Amino acid sequence: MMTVTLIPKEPFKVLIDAKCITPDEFAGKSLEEINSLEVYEGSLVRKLGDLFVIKGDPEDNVDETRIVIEGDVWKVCRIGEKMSGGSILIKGSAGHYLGRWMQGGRIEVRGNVRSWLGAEMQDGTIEVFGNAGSFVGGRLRGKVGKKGMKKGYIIIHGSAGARVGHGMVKGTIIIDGNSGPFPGSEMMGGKILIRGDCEGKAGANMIGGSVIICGRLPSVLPGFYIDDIAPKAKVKKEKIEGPFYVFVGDALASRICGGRLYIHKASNPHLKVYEELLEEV
Amino acid sequence: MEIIIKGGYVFDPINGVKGEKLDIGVKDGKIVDPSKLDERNAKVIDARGKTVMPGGVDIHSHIAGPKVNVGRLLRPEDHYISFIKAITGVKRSGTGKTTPTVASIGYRYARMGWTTVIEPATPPLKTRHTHEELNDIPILDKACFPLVDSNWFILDYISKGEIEKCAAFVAWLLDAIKGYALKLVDPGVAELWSQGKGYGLDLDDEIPSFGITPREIITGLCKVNRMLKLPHSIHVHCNRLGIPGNYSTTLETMRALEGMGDGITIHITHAQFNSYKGDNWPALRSGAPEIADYVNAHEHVSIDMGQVIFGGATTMTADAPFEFALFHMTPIRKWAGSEVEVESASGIVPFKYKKKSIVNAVQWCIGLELALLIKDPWRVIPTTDHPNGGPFTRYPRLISWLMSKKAREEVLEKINKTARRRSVLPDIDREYSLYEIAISTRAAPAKLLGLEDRKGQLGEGADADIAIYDLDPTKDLNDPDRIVKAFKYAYCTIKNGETVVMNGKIAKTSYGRTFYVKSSVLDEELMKGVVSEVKQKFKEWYTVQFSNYIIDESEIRHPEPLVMGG
Repeated sequence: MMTVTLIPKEPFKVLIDAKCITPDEFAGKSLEEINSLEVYEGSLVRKLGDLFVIKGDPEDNVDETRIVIEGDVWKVCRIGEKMSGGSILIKGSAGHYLGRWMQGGRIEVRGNVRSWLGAEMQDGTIEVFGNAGSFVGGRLRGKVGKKGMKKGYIIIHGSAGARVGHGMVKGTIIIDGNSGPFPGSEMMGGKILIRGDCEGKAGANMIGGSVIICGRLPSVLPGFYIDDIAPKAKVKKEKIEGPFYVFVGDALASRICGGRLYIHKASNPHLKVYEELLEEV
Repeated sequence: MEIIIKGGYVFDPINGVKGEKLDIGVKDGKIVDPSKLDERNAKVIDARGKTVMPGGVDIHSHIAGPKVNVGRLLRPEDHYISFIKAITGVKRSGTGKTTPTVASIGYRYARMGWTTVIEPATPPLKTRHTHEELNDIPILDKACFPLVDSNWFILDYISKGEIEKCAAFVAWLLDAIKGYALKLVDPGVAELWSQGKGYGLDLDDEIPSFGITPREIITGLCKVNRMLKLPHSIHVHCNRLGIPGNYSTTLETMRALEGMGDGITIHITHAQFNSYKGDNWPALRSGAPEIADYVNAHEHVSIDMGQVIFGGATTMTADAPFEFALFHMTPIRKWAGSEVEVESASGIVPFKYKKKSIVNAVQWCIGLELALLIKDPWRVIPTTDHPNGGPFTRYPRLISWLMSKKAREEVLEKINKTARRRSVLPDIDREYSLYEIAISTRAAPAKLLGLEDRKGQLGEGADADIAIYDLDPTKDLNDPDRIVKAFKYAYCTIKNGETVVMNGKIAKTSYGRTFYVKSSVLDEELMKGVVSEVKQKFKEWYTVQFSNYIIDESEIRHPEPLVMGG
């Protein structure tokens, strides 16, 4: 496997639109060609070589291409857009739309990422060691229908912002830290695991899939009914010890109530009132 | 600046020029005799082997106003698709396909060779917003039609039978908000919608709060229109739009004006949506032959097509109950609706027209049938009712369907089979000539708008709005794709004596005029009486101040009043 290394020349002042930083674009190109790829710095058209020092030898094969970015690129957006293979390692923080429409391969970020991580991704793996912004694996604004994350795996070792997995269809998102409000909003399928606390309003308007919250959830939305108490939940062959309250919903979005909320019983004593409703049934 | 256009095939229906090789001279924004210009000082455009036409006139296109803006907010996904790059000093940036941003509307129209566009529905209270947006649309000349069908003042005057007072109110309204003509959307329906009703209101159903019927509103406003000598006839979106079986309502609407004497005319807008036969959606059939027969036999009617183009669209109309019904029919689950106090309402639903859908395929056929069965091209205007039937950027495709049977057959092969069987379109052999296209897209709309002395023609003294297409009428007309390409990117567009498009690219950003009507037909005593009456009721009915309602001329970038009568 051959590596192409990008080192930022100086700190970025404005947002950079760099959708060309993908293994698909780099594969089969010489270093000179990579240097002259177009990027936008604010509204100005620049060359990739103006902003980064680029080293290494590129590979013909996409799957064998490995891109390493040494340093902070938290103002560089759209890295890894539509990538179909290979891998990207960012040894710092990354900007918006990291791995949007990604079709395969692997992205690893040692720092934090901003919003729309893996937006509308089709397949592939993203691992973030820091925190993530809002709309992780989400669909873009205004789009309706099966447009969210379709497949793949996103793992965030820190915390995430609002609307994790907005409109997601399939795939898995794991968050080791806490999450902002509205995880799994308008979700249609797939699984979201939040090991920490959630700010609330989990699963708003969901019609399928499941959201598992191991920490505290302030309240459950009124569109959800309690269904069961499950001893454990399962995500990607990993068994998570419960017990969990299982809620179905959202009744406001669909009568079928295909969505599932798993909420850890021990960390949510204030939800005990729901147990009475369970006994009545 | 002086320009001479040399050796093009000129099509100028108002002056009866049918593709003759002529030179055209332009000086100070007007068309002049080219022999009087000095070639050494003038910019010479070589138009040999090209078609020269007057700048296009679009009589019905929702380009500005609060409704369009809500459409933009409702459809951010529409703005991911297309994008116009800014070039400093030449053009501004823009996005959007069915709901484009303000600047891109102007550029895309100019790129196709259109130079005058009308915003056909704006609630009077919100017209300030409409003018703000019209001001920012580059290149085009524009005007707006205020909605008057559910205005309480007008309903009140009509129910009391005070047509003169109604006319005085309309004259004041047009001047106060700088409107151009009267637009009626599903007459009376917005009034009912404010009470939560109104779906399927027919021509003779009563509007309980005022005790009148849509028929009385239409005939009443027709009389007002004649009394004020307004340049355009009333612009009517008929009752029961978009409901199967509505062609009879449309026929009744047109018949309602028979025998009212001279000077009574009506423009039925987006007639395609009003020509449905059949009892329900699956049994939808075309009512176009009946409508076309009526229009052929009666002089007082003109229509525009409202052609459906397969692909994305955003339906937006002041017919709010229909939009609410449409929202429940569409799979795209979002809509927006609003009500304007005392005046109007509106609804917006994103939509997608599909070839394989029987309803959409029948709709596609109806529009073309209307245009091809009505014999007089002066009374049928090709439009898509942008963005209801499709974006205006698809006009070149629409023109190719009108001009070529081959192009129509290509689409007919792909559409729903049942719809194709039900349609008479495969049997129609008529093809528009380039001269007829020049009539229906330029001369006819200009004439219907009462602007024929300055727009839609290339006679001396007319505004220098000229479109040059890279289309040789002697050999290129057999190839529909060639026609589409030529009309999509005009070789050159001249607006007001300035070259704004060259080789299909924007060369300059200028700003056009806004037309409005000042009618001084009625005597001043009557006007004063009505205005003081309006002032009193204004306090009761509106939440805004009377003085804030009136739009000053200084708020419009380049105001151009048309004074009628007086």
